[in-house]
Amino acid sequence: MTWSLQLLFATLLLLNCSDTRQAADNRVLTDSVVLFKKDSAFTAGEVPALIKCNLVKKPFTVSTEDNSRILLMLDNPVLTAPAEGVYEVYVTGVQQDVTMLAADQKSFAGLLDLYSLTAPGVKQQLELDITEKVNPLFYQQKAYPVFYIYIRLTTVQDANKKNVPNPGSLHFSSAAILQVKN
Amino acid sequence: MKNFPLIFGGLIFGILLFFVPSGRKEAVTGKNKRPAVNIIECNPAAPLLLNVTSFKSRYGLEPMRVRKNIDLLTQAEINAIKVGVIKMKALPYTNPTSWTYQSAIHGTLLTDNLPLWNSCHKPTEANFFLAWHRMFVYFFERILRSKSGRANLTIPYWDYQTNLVMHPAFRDNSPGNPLYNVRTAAINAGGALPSSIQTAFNNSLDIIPYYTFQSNLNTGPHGSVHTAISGDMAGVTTAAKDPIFWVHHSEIDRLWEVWRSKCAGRANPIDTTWLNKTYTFFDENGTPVALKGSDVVEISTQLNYKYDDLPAVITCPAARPATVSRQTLITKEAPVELRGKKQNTNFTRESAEGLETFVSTKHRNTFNFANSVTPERLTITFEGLRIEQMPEGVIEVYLNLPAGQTPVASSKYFVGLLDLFSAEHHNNHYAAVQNEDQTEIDATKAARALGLTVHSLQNATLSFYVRGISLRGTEAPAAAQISIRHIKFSVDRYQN
Repeated sequence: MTWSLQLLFATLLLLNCSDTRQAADNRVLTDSVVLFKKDSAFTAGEVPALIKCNLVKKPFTVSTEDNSRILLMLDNPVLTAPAEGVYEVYVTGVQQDVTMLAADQKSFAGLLDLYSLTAPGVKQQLELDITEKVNPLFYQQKAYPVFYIYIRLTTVQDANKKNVPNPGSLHFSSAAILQVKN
Repeated sequence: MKNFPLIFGGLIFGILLFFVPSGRKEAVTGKNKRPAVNIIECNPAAPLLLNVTSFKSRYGLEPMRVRKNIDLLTQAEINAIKVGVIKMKALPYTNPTSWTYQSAIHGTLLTDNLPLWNSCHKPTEANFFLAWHRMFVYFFERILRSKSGRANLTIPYWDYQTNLVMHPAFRDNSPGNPLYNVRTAAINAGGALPSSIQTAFNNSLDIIPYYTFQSNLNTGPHGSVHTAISGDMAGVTTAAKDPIFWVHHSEIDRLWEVWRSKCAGRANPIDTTWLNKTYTFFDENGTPVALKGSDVVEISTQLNYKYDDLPAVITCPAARPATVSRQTLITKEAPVELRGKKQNTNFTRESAEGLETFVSTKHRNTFNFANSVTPERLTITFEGLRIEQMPEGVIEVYLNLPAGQTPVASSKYFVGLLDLFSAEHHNNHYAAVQNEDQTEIDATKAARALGLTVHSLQNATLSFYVRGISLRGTEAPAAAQISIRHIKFSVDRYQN
């Protein structure tokens, strides 16, 4: 009797939690493929993080018609100090001298949104759509595509137009590249 | 069995919990039971206790007010904003028109949980980011105007495209300045935000679908401005306490209008979910007012404001799909190899059959580049493109560059960039990788500048030049290894 009641109770609570989770997550991806996974932790700061992406499979054709996208997913971001700047993401086909990376280049993929992560209850994961950056590389590279992702902190400038040093950095527990269809 | 009453109580609790409507589960379960998913506690029940009035026609006829670039504000206008902020800050935080209450609507760490507090940035409502903030800033502006005593007061915007330095009025830490806040030290000392913010904003404006644009704007440059300024601005639960928050969001609202004004298919949502989505805010009288997405699509006619650099009403011409027919004029049949820094190739040995067909059927040796009804464009197509070494720079393409002349992109010989990376068309000088084998460049501008005739394509020369990245005025060494199977000149004829 005791065991059966406990089992029933546990089942009821479990169902309840599952229901809540599903209702809250309105961004269910109907079809997604993991193209790349980095399971080890890494850190980005003024010294950029560099991720070499050897895709484990060739992505299927990306088109705007089927709304498929290539997403960079960064898990559990933790800032060690206020950013006082922006975290920039670059995607390149070849490894580059990091001093050459600049936002006015085609390799600039966007900025990471650390602000939204401060809302209560938000999943601690960053997402960046890199479709337009990697798509041409997929076309050009015949076998399994390889490309490089740089994540770099660029700080604000002082009145003399010099970037202000920042000791902070951004830690991630893992990263992945997904191809998704909504 | 001695635990039976406890277990039975738990069972009853569990059953009750299971049948509670999902919207109320958070309140029942509390924080400790909350699953680690995207749920925000935002006092869903409290607004229902309010006597909410509808927005439509509530304020009657009001004058058109203009939101200005903050750099163009007069000292009197700045002072009026300060007066309004001081009065709002002097009110008790339980007053819906107080500074603290208004900022708490966006987010707060206070635990009083008063009506509408913590309404913003619900993960499930990301599709309403722009609309919610438009409403929020609109009602805050009404309150600030009322407190300031200046009938035409509006919230200015910080145009990041023209100035990355915060306005001095917000950085002045003189005692009593209500606009000052603790932020990144360099920002308050007159330093600049990173310029990548400008690029990110521009990239957002290039996006045509509304929801994609909104998401890109929200999660990229918008959030990065918050964290770069830091201090209260860096967190959702504190951001609106910083006076610069309102100026930042006036700019975000303006960029929504800038995006619309770029037309080319950009349009506000028309789905009923978005149009009927209802939010409640407090106006200057402390009255809760409800309004829908459909109430905030035209700012000048519905909300009586406009931006100083944009028309009051944004109208886009109805899209007229242009049909295009293509006729190949001449083809470079032999492969072209670029190995290193530069390479020339010409069309002198190629068949002129396509050129002759065009001239004989059209009875002209010229292009109709300027024809307003059926304009023509000259296109260069690069087929069978294969990259063995990607350049650390760009590949510039020139048409009929004289021998010995230094390639300069500002010259009339410059056709465009052989962009191996991006699939975006930016302008007529820009190539796009369209599929596995093919890249195109629109050569119309160079052809017009050079006065090219149809027959003269037989003597055309194309020059490729690998331009290294320029850093502080010095070009870095760069080279490429690519091969192109065929190069074609074609004429595209548009029919509107």
